[in-house]
Amino acid sequence: MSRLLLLLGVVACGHPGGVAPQSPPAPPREANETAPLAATMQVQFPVGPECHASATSDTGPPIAHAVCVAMQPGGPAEAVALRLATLDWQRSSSELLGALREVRVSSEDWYAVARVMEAHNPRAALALLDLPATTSDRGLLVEVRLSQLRLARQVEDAERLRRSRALMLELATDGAIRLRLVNELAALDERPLVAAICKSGADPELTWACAEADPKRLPDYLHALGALPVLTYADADRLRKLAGPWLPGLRCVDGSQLPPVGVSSLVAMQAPPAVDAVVIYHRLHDGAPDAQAQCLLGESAAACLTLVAQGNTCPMLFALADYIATLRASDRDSVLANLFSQKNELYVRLRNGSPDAAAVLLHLHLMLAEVLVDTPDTLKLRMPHYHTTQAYGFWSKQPRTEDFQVLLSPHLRDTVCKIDTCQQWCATGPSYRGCVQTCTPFLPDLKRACGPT
Amino acid sequence: MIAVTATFDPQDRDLRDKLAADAATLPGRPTPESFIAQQFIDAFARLGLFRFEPGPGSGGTQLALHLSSGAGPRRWPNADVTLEISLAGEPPISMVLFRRAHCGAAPCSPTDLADPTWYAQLFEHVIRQWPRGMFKHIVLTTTAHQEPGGQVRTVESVTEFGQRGDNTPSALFELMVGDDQIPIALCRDAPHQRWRGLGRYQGRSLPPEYEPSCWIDGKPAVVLNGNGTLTLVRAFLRTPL
Repeated sequence: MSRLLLLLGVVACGHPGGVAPQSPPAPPREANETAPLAATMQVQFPVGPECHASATSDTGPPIAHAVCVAMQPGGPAEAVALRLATLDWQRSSSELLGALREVRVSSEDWYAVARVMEAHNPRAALALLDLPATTSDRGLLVEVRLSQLRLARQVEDAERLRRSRALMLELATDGAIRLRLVNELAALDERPLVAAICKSGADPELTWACAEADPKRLPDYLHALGALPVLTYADADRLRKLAGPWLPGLRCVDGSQLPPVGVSSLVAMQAPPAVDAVVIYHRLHDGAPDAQAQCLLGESAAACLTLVAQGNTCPMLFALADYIATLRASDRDSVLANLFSQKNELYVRLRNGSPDAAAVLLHLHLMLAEVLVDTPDTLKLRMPHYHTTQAYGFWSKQPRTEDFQVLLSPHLRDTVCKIDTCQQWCATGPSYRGCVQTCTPFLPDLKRACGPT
Repeated sequence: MIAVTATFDPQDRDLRDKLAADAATLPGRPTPESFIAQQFIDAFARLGLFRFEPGPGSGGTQLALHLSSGAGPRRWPNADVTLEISLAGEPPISMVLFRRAHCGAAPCSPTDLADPTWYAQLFEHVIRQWPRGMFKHIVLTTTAHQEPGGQVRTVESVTEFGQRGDNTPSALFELMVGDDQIPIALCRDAPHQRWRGLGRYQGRSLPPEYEPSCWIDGKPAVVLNGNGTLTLVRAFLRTPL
């Protein structure tokens, strides 16, 4: 404050454009009549008589006059703002700004003056903001740009509004600033500007803020939401409120009406799901109560299978395996018996489908092999070595990325890779008629799956 | 000082063995536990807000990292590895550290589990996201004092709150006095906020060792009287890796 008044005082009262020096002397002032800041100013730069004369006579060059008014006791800075606000900015803003630029006042001081002017003359305040807009202080510049945008909207200055929006984008390079701009601009309903700042889409710093600031564009943010490093069931309710229409599977979050997701209905979806829905449903199951977790995995599996069936890419080909892994043993048996039936249309389509479809079954059989390795059983479907060979068969249809053995846990490998003959095969599982004959075609695959010992 | 420890689920022996083998090639041959703790420390120390030490420490704030690949018989490499960050008083934060083998969306896991860039990138993304409530329960100071103009002063230097050379806030905080709370930011050398009370602000007579804030997230709806507690809402990394 003191700096503003000091500099204004020097320029206005000592500048050639100031009031003539023949003015009468200023009346003496009492030391305690002004606020402390003004008092400090008075000590260092006593008010000249010309200022007093200008202020009291309401004449003289406008800037000098305004400054001189400000030199009067009682709210000096507000007086500067109020006086500047009365000037005819509409007609002569360039002239006024040119003159004010000569005044060596800091950008933050001009900003403060403009803020006070807003209520009295928003057009004048908008014009005055050109002065602090040259600051290199990015924190202040954010304040200035937001004020410019707000005022340009208020006075309906289309050209300044267009320019303000463009300049706003140039600011949005820093995390704290971008987050602030998104929140402030959303409050101003500047949706296109918010969308432009959020355009990168994949920045975890802005993902939630952008999605919540611009919910109509939520599909644009689904990928970024699914890619957040931290996304768990704790976010489910927030996400459901935000994205319910685009993520119908979030009905699982409402635990009161969990729809059973049977395997037979997994590909019964009518509308193609969003690719990112697979990821989001799957990730939200982390930390969910059992029923909700199973429901979310079912939705993830259903979305994945639908995508694969439609020839699209599923980003989590293990979703079906994870879903079936969460079923109770009795439910799993019936589901698997149904799924592995030669007549099951889904299984046949997956078995004869694309590499992605085969990968779904690869993960399914791998899961079953791992889950069943320590489970004595009476069903062929529960033999881990059977599922290992099946997994190997589907792995063989995959683009090679790693050795199959990498996919097997050491415990599973130690168990199933000990089998050298069909007699051993049949001895480790349920005894049923024709086991050895059934085993015969699988045994070579099991040896290949296990690799060199 | 925050003591950082890491543990593995006992059933994830395969994971720990693989990480031990990979870390054995690093200088000092760190254990898997100390390696994971150090990766966390290296990433979060960049905030400039907290001091960390590996190991259980000597009774201060404890932060626990726990790696696990599920509750059932399936384990890594056939199940995703989850890292859980637990700080006393806060809900744990859970994230996927490695996806299972053949996950379909490369990279699933690094070939070398002791590759520091893997952890640096993951933790940087966590910081950038700043999950709700992370480090919220750590009291940064109890000396914060709000002035009528909106400024907040603290005895500590703003560098103690992550603010380095420039004027842009590097973190958002919450000041709480009694049941009242306001959001604030702290930074140096940007005095424009002092004009919030333009023409009316008369200053206060706090001791000179109090360092002021200079930026406030929105106009303060209330002025909080008395010294308050400052906690972190979120912090920002200035420079990417």
